[in-house]
Amino acid sequence: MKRFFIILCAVALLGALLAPHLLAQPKHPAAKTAKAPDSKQVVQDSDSDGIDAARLWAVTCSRCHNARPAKTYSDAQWTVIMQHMRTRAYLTVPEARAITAFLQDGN
Amino acid sequence: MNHSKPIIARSRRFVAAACITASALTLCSAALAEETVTVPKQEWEELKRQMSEMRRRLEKVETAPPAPAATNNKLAGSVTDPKVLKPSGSGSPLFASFSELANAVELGRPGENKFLLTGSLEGAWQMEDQFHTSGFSASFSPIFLWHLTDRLSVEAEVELELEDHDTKVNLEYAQLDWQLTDYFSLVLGKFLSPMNIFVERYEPKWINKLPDTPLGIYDGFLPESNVGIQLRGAVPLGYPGGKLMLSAFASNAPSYSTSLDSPGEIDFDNFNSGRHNIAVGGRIGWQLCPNFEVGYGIQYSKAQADDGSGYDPLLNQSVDLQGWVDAAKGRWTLLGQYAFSHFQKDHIIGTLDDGSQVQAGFPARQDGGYVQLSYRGKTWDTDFLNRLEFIARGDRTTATGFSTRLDAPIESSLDFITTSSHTPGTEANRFTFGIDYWLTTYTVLKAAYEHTTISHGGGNADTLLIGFATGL
Repeated sequence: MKRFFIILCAVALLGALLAPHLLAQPKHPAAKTAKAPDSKQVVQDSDSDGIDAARLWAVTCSRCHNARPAKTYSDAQWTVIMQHMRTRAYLTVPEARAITAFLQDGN
Repeated sequence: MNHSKPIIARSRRFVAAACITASALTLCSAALAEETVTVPKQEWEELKRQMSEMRRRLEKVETAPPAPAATNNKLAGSVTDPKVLKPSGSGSPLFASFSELANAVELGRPGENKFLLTGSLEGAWQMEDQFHTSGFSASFSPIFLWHLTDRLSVEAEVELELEDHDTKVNLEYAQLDWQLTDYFSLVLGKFLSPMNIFVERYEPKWINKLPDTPLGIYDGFLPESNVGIQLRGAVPLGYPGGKLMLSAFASNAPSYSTSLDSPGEIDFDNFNSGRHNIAVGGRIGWQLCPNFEVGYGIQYSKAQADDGSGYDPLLNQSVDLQGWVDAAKGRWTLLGQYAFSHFQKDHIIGTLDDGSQVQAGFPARQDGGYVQLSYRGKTWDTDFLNRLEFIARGDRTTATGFSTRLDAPIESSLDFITTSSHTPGTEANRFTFGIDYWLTTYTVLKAAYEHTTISHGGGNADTLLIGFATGL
């Protein structure tokens, strides 16, 4: 158990040390111009709340699973799914709204 | 007299200039005579108006965004495909009218705007050498999502899995989500335990990268779900990617077994909570940056004896971390969770058929968890390499030792013979190496090899697992 604790603490410490470095980095170029898969165009880089929807979609969904292509669901279905994911993934309403719009526009 | 001569001279020059101009005009007129058309003024004004209208329309067409070729092709090919219903593209009134009509039709399609059926499906084959067993298994987990209003939704998951000769049905969760503010929601019903991050986030078959689940975070260690009420939400920390994730809940508390067959076994799925039998807990997660998060979860309860004989405090805690980084042409993902279970009771007392009194002990403290590192290619030149994922996971569980005492009655006497034994603490370690091949974004073939070591003569076991999973 102690070894596990040590490993966990070491990794947590490493993460904490890396965090400022990662935060200081400019946005990942791929994420900055990220497109919802199969989308014809970059539809929305930032919404009225100042949220970079493309980047948010890229990092939020892939945190737990492979991000699904926008064409997997219709616009109406994305609304239902994102309402579910807003609760499950601890998204704020502006974040969920931005990702929903991004997916629908890329559909 | 003196003034008349210059005047005459200027008049002559004027007349000469007029004659030259008139001659030039005459010559030009003669030259242009064949292309000159004389029209009435009214017709001329009408032509001017038409010309102005044409110019205005031309400018409008030139300033409108060009229509994508693909969209036009789709438009010509199918009028029912919802993917072609975007009003963007041609700015013509006809196209706009068509788009509005098609969107209205799409929104009215039954079953698409309020309800969604999704979920996952899994099949696996497992072979273990210690007990020389092998076999197939399968499960299906449909998820039902209802959008009631923008603030209210209902979601439920049912897991259907094969067990022995039957199909086992589990209601994984069934909850009402009520969005209170932009940051917090109230959850009512049966929900996945927020303190058990693996169950809440990584357990779905197509999300879990290995064919089986980690040790130490399931039965006896942490709850998988709770029946009650939960407040959850996120608070941005004011810098990019920083966020606090908070949840707090009150629910039915677990029960424990008073059977001598399984003394002290914790049953977190207790749906008959007594008056004093409430569990409270929650989790706080700190997202340091978009790709790194640490969390701590806790649940405190008074576990109820399943025979109703009493309550005893049970404390469950969990620490977890999640992180990923893109490097070496792929994504490295690190997951870890460690659980602690402390039950303030280490034995039960029962009676055997012959009248013997048994004090059956069980582990009061258990802990366990896992660390998992995976790598998936993203930017290799070969598509095959980008579909592969390599996973390594280490699991561990420990349990404290306990004592058992037997007071057997002596025939023809009122005395007892007492015998006791002590079971030392146990420790199990497991290492798993797996390879995944992603057929699509949400369909995966899995293969894994496991080596398990159990202390105190528990032996070693090697297991081969092969399976597939798909998200629906």
